[in-house]
Amino acid sequence: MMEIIQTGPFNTVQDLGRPGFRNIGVTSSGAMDPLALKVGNSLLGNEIGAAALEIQTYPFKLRFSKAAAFVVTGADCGALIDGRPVHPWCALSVEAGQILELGQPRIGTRAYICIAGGIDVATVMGSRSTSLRGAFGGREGRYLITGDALQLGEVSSPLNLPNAGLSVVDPAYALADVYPAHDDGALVVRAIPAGEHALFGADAERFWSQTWKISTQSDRTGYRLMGEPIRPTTPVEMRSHGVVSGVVQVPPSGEPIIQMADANTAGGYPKIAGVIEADLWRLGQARIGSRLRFVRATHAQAAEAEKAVTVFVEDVRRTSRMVCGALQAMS
Amino acid sequence: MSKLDLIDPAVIEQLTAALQAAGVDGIEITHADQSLMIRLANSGKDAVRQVLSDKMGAAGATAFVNAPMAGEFWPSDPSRTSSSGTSAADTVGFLKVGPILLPVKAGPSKRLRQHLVEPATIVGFGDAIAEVEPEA
Repeated sequence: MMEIIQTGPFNTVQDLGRPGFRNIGVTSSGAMDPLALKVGNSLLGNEIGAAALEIQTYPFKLRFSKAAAFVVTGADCGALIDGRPVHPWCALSVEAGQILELGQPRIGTRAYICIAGGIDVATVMGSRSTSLRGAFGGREGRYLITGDALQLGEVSSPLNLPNAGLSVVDPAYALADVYPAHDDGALVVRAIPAGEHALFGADAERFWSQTWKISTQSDRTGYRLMGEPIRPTTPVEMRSHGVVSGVVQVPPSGEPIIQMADANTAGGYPKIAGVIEADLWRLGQARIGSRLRFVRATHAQAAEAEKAVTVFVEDVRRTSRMVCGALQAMS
Repeated sequence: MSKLDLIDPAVIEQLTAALQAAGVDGIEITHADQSLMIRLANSGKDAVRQVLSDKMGAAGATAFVNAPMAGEFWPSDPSRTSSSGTSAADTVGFLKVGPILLPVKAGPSKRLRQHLVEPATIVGFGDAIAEVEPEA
């Protein structure tokens, strides 16, 4: 068990979400940076989608009530264990009573505290993710508050972590060949033209060519972008239709909205593009006020990027187990 | 006759090679101010080596930190800038194995004196990778 002893709002329990219920109006939720969640779980020997804590407001502090193993992935927020620095993305064993503390992120925006065995909250519709808008899942359908005690799941095949811990290279470094580099400080996000792309005429090109800024009206539901507005050549009246995370809609204001993990299940705004799934985690770590640019991608490129990410995560899982096994054999 | 410097990596390499050539699986040498123990798990070409070496200096004991397994040695996390990759103070480096980084610690109440191998060097189990000294 562990106890939350300091937290801001909007910190929640998340796993990989609950797909399959959008037809009845249930958003999928899930980690905004699913890669950080997958790598954290893989490093600990958990199921890849085990529930973790998604931290997006700081400072955050918790106390382990029993011996456990954890890793903080995602944003680098200078994690401390009993006041001593913890290397980013480094899995460590802890004893009962030890305190984990996260400060303001130096890089990224969302940190994931993955625990061996996962966070054991009730499964709702196949997922432990918190749906804040639906007020279900996670910890009583709400964000974490000071005093919350969270149960930890059973560890099915525990890793014998070395005393010094076990870390993983920064995925941005490991996958540098897979992801486009920042362009003049702007995050480059790959997207595929969507159904109504052609309705925007010449403005469609400005969607791709200009640099957008993530506005303060951004959260887990969606990121509203600021820039020179783009509009269809003629006003479009559309029936509401299904929407998924990554879809880029353009409301009448002309400033696009990227649907994120808590995406609406339906919407009537025209869709100009869809961010490829492999790039969504980078958006999940983008800060409000930061800049981004879209570049066109093909379905084949999207599939290739997704495959590379899957291979990396699997490599982390396999190698962490191999290293722990080798150290144990030689001790 | 000059005395062997038992913390000199070149001396340790020479002794290891001599042990392998002779089919001997270990040696322990103790001087008044230095000690060295080399154990070879097997005498073949791919011998697994464990080295424990100490120097007793005027200011206190200086010791080697040995690689706990084979890997690519990095004095700091190669994937993160120093400002983002703050490590525990007693971490003397990392062994990189695929995507995994294994932190290597100085040991209790020890601090890094110097690294003994260059960044990105492949080291074997037991190879000396850093020299540490007591914390002031």
